[in-house]
Amino acid sequence: MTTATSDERMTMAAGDDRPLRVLHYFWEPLVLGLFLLGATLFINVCGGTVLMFTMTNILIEVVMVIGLYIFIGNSGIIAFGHITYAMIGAYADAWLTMTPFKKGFALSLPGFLANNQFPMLPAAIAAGVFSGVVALITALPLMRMRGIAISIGTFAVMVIFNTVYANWDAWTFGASTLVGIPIYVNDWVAFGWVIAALVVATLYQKSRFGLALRASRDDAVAARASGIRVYRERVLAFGLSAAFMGIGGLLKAHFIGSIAVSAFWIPETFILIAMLMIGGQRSLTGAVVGAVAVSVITEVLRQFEAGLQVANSTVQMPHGFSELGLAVMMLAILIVRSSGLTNGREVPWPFARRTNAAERNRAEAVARIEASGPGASEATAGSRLEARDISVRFDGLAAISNLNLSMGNNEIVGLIGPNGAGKTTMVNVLTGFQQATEGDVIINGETVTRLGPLQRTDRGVARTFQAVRLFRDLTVLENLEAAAIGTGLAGAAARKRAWDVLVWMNLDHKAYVRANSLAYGDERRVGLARALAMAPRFVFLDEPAAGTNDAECDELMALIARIPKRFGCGVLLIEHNMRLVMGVCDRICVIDSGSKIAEGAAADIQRHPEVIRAYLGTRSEKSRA
Amino acid sequence: MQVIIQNIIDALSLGSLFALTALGISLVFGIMRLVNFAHGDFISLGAYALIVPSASPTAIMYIGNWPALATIVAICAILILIAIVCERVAFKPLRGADPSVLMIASFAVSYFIQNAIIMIYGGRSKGVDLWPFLQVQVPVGGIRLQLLQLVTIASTIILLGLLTLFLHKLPIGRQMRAASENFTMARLLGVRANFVIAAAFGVSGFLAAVVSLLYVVQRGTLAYDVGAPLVMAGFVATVIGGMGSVFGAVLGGFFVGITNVFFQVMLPVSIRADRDAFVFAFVILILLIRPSGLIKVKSVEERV
Repeated sequence: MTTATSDERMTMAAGDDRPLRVLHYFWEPLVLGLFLLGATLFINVCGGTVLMFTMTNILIEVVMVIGLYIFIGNSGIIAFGHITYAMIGAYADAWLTMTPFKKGFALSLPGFLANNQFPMLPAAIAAGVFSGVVALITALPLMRMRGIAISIGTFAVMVIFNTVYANWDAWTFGASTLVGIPIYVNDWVAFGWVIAALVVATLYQKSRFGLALRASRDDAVAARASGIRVYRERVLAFGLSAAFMGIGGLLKAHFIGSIAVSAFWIPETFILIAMLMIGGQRSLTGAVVGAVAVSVITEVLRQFEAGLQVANSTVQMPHGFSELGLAVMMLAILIVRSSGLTNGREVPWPFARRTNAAERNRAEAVARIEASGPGASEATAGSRLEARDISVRFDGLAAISNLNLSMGNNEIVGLIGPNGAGKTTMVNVLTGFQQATEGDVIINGETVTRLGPLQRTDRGVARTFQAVRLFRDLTVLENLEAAAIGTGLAGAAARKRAWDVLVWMNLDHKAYVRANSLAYGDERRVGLARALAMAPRFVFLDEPAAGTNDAECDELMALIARIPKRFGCGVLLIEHNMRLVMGVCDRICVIDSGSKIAEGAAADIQRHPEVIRAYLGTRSEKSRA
Repeated sequence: MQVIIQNIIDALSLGSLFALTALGISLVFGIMRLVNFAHGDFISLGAYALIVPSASPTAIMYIGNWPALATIVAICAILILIAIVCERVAFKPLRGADPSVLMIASFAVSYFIQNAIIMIYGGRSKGVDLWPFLQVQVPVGGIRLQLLQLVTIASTIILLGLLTLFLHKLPIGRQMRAASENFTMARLLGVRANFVIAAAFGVSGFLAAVVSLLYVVQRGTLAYDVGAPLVMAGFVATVIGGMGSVFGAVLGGFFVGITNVFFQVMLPVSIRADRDAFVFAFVILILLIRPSGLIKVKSVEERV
């Protein structure tokens, strides 16, 4: 696309494409909602009471699976205890909506709850919020754990609430079934809540919170290095997700008219997780498809249990057949297609792949870059980073000893040395991924030695990784947006900055490509772009030229050389590639075995005897002879 | 005095069951990063294997009526076989998948086994009376203790000793340790993946068999989800101990057992039924202080 056409498109974009954008934004909930609407209508017209009962059940399951998806799909962490929040929501709602007479029969609640009956909708909302808040509180300790331990922790939480509710006679009627809950839920009420769940899930996953969480799902380490509050995002999503579990639980209670603690336990957990996994845990579409598909299939299998007429004979399967079927289905999906029926994709957008909004974003970025000229932002001017007497020891092995390094925000410093010299360790120390055993890291006069990666990013530190670590299921644009969000920008501003960097790096044509389908060279360039999207004061590039050929290397050299001017940020370049280092660095620091052996301009370094010895070795006795 | 010693014995015998369960979970996790939810159902299957398969509400002993030694050997053999078959059918195709996918797969296996039990044996619990002689109280230095508890503790100590020898002295044990340290590297050095994984599942099935026999004598009933509380405790024990650490799992198992009895004794009667809630809440508190458990395993950590 040439600039001439982009101008044209800009004027076109100035025309109102807002309805189209809104349609695009809410495309998934719209299609999924229409699909469920069609099914509900069809069953209302053609089905009997039994089918309507089944349909209502399916819709309630859909609400719960969407609830589950909000956390699992966006965070990538499997939560096994979510059913407990359905229980919490159901009981909270029962406290609010049962008639005082019926409450008096089974429960001994405090006066305010015992003597009042509240209207259904506000009560449902309050109960949903209540279960969300309870989940938020339980998430505070849970999300401090790592990886699979969180999943196990959610089990522990389920045991805790289940035990308490089963013994909390005054509020829950103990392990007995609590009856007398007003029945008001039918397929249309459930459908209404499905729509609410779809819309909230969409709003969330397209918000900056959802995007940040999805970034952490793909790579938690890179997310932290991009300034994303992984812990906070997980806690928030957990609460939101549990709120809809609560709604699902109370819908069920108001559908069958009773609740029991034992109905919120491992088998129910399994069915919900099976629905999400079979549909595809990484998309909202998957959540809905899974809930519907699994419900329909188990319903068919149950018909076999009851005895089904096939041809002239009755086929009857023993009780438990449908459950076995579900377990086998789940295993088969995990083995054959672990990303589920939808393969983690949403309902496709049927019109032109990009709206002209995207084109306009690009054009605006071009305009902004041209307007700002070569000048950098003033915010970062005069920044200074210093590392004083840094030592790092691993169990007595000295990786770095007494290393000093200092750089401003307008220079490119090279950090070179043979393999194992301690270069990456030094970057980890500067970015907070590795604690120094001794010494201090100082940014603009502030000692940041004890701060972790997240706090360092607040002070303008950004990095790339040797292993690149892109957020692989996000698009290139989203990768950059996530990093911009990590520095505190909200949606529109983050998007703007992402476009600016993409255009500046000539990566704009890749904006909508998923990171996991990029070619190797592009992957590395996106890694660099992502770091720059944080508008850092200092950026650390860990072997950006690894695996690139000479031509690509020249291109990279030109690019790096332009960074300080454009972004007002200092570059620390860790590299093996001498061409690149010698060609672009203002100053080079050479380390070997963890100590600095030389520092100076490129020309001096090349002649420095210590450097030559470290790289080429000295003449041994044998070769001299 | 009697009460204190009784409490200590209670804690140790409960801790023993948890430790053996946690050990079975931990061995498999160490090697293939699978948190095996179905381990509890192996335990259930071991218990059900004692009786004649039927949906009748009363249990008729079959293997359980054999001489004790024959019963033990048979149940161990059955569970070793079941564990290995489960691995081949369900987990082998998923080798190398994400730990959360593996955990869900084991969840599916567990669901399958539970419902298969319901299908074959019926859903209601059944009373069984295995080895009633273990229920007697024996006098030990002036106080009377239940023989079963002493047997539980003793067999746990013996098993832990044997397992240590197995892991350190036998070639297959060493290979298992190597594989749990670094699976890829172990394979490159000639450790056969299928063999080591099968061995881990075999040992884990064997441990499940021991737990199921001890537990069934203590409980006296069979239910399709009889293993669930054990596997929950075992999970928590492995997390507390440090995921992937075999020694940590044992430590964690005893820790959970002791905590459990402690709350049983210390909580006021009115909330004693909530003991499990306190135990699990306490465990979460511990993890707040030490998120990677008592023993930190380096190979589980991610390098930057």
